[in-house]
Amino acid sequence: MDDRIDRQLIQRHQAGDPAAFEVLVTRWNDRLVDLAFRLTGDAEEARDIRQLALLRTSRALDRFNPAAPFSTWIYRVVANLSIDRRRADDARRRHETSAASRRGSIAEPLDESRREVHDTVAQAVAALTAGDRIVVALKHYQGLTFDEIARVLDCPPSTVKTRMARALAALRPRLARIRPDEE
Amino acid sequence: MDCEQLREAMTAYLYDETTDGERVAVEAHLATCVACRERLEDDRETLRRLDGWSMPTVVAPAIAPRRQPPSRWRAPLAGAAAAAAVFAALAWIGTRAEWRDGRVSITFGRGAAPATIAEDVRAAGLRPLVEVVAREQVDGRMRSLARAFDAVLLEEEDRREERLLTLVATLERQQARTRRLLVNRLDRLGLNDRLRRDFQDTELDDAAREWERLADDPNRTPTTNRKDSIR
Repeated sequence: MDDRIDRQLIQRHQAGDPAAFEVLVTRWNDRLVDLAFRLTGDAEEARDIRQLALLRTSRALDRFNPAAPFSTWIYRVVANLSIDRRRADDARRRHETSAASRRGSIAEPLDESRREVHDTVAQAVAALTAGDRIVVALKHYQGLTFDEIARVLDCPPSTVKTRMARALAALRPRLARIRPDEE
Repeated sequence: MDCEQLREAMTAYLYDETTDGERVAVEAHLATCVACRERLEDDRETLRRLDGWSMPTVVAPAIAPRRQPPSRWRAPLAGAAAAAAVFAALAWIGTRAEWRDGRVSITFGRGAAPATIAEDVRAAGLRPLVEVVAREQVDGRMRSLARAFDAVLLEEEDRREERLLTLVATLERQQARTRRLLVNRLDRLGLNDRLRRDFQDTELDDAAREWERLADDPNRTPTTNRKDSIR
């Protein structure tokens, strides 16, 4: 994460440069969709959440203090939106086994074996507690360091590592079902 | 140190994020503890399997314009026009509303009989809107004002939302197009399925650059930059 670029963009936006916000959106778009997708398991919903987060950003940016890392803030916004959304949807989801991951892939059909791997991993991650899931999403899929995750979650790095270890232990038996030739 | 004491450092070790001291301790422990070596291997395998879950590729633009925009989110021009019309209507009934220094300032003037207003309005072609305002003349001035105020605020929000939507839609169209292009070209090169998946999963810019390099030298093995740290 290079916070300096974000900081410069925000300062330019605050100084009235109309292109700065667009560059910021371009920089963050994919990462935000990906994070929301890992947390909700639903690609469609992930795009909605990204949109909400960017909208929130566009409103908050005028007052944003560029000394604070933008990444920490925006990751928090997306994580909170995703968790709220998921909590609201949980009752519905209980009746739709793996609907989330299926719905997410309407756009491009996957072949059978890849679909199986895809669903197995999606379900295994979805079964984690919300706190562990965020750590896995930020660590494995976003590639943040443990220290960076600790700043996003506002907790000590040791807690992040403990959660990661716990998540891996929970994921291991579920992912062991994947046959090696399917990967 | 025993296995439990080293658990945290072991997790950092998986991602190559240990301090030098931790690394020495972990490696010394791993040299003597079969259980931890196995666990480390299991964890690496688990991480590798997590890669099997990729974000579905979008072929069609995923951001569709809202089919039924809620009334709060009118098109920018409509918002501006509504605000202007309400201001004009308020002026018509002797109540002047102005947008000054970022605030709405309102002056209550004379009241006019609704019938007279209706006549004037018909002449001015502003009938529907001003009739509403006229009906509210006695007890509804504040409501009209609130609407005018809202319209001015919403205009700004609409403008931002509109710009954001356009930007996001453009981005996604570009992405879908580039991905399709890459997959087609890779197919034409006859590259295997695994490689194609890697390409689909790779960040676009990298994929595009990689494609450029690949086009120059078809025998070159593409690389991806994903999750290098855990390999």
